[in-house]
Amino acid sequence: MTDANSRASRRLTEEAATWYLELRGGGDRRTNARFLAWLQRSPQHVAEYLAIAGLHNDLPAAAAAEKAAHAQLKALAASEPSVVPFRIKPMPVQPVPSMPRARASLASRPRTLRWLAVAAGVLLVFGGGIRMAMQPMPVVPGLAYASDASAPRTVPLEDGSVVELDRDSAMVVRFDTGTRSIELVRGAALFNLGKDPGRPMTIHVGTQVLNDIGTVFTVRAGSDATDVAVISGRVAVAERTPRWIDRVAPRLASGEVPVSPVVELGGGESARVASDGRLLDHGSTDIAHATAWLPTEIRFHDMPVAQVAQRFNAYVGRPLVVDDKALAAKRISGVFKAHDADAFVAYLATLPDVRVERTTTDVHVTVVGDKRKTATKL
Amino acid sequence: MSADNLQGWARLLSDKGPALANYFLRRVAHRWDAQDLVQEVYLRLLGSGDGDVAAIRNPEAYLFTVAGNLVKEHAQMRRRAPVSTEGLPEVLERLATPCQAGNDLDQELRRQRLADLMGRLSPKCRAVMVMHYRDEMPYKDIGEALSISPNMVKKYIVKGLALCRQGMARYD
Repeated sequence: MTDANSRASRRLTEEAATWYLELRGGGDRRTNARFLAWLQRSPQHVAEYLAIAGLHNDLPAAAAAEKAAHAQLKALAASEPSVVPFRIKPMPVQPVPSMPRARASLASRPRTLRWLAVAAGVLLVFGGGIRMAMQPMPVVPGLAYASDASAPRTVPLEDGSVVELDRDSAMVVRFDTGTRSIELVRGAALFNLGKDPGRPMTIHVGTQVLNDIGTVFTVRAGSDATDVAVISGRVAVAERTPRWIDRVAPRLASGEVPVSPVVELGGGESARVASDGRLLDHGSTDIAHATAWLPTEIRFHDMPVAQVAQRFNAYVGRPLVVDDKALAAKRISGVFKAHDADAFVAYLATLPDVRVERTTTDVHVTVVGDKRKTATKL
Repeated sequence: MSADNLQGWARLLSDKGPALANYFLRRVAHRWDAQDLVQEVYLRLLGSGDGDVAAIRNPEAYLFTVAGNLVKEHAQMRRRAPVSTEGLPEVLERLATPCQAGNDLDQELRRQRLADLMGRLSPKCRAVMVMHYRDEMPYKDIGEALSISPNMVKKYIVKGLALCRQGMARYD
């Protein structure tokens, strides 16, 4: 959808919503006549109005799930600045050779750095042509996700990655055109990461940095140690030094924080790393145990087979790989026991021409006689 | 589309009347038959200009009634059609839903997604939406709680509805 299209569709939705609210108070003759004329202008108006009416019916039940009390909502609302911040489009960032020096000299004064970086962001708005030494990280807003104590939460991210947040956990996600970074603030999470060679993914937990390589692993942030268990793929764990760099890292050039490697883990391995970077434990992991906190059911509605398979890959050491593009894109609905990926594979095998091949590292789902074999690694 | 689903909808619609809009919300974007129904509703609305008293007196009620009747008619027509018209995607969909009543699952997932979307609104917008839809507070009280005018409250609800609608459209 182009910008103009999406603006027009947004405007139409807002018109329909305005009419809907207008008529809740009961319309008078003139209002009704204007409303009828609006409906008669286009079938799209009719469709959008019905859609808004449906949404309005669903909203009370959805809003009931909101846990924040009245006072909390008030406080949150009060914290919102009344001035709308600049919206800055992420720009492709060119590497600047002089950057390490700039960072070293500014690093001892994080506050100055922050203001300079903010200034850089502002300059990028007004002087699009100026190439700044600082990358516009400060203007990449972090999206915070938290789960409450009642249930784990599934968070699908825009790059196709899926994060399962354990109960009472929180993370901040920062994606821009050049990097992807997630900070696990508290609790535990399972990261089921999509591959994007152009945008490496870095996970920050306390003082540790984890570099993924298209993989599935769980992380639990403790007060004095971090536990990492890899379900499939490889993960490099490193220590960020020194501590204050943590604080300025988000404002620095993406993820290029000095690190010292601690351990590299493969599928089925786990490690416990102390907050000072010492490796406390390194061994094999029991996948069922490491994923015991995850939801026991996988529910999906009108979801592509590839995404469903990705959900199952959170629970299995041998990931499912759907080799056929058309099959990967096929939309399905259902509920499966999460720890029974075999049931899902068995279901796939009942589809016409589908063959399942198990290797030592993967389970391949292929379509027989398909010449356009394009692997969708999950 | 499976016959079960259609029966489900027909029942749902006859039970809930105006809640049929849910049907459109889910399907209007992609499914040709929903598009067809919207066209049909639209044509009747156009025709209603020629002195249809019901349409002029209360266009909204007229809209819901016409749409409801059309969906019912359509469901009955489809039920009489031979099974072989069922397309592969529909068969797959049924196969893939081994142990759940489709409607319940659908409803629950939609609620979760909506709740998710509401959580992502800006703090003021979210506060207004929750106070309105959860706490059922009138505009005036919401405005007083948040130090904004009732008119602004309405604007936030419009904005919230539009953002939720656009967010849900991606799932439909």
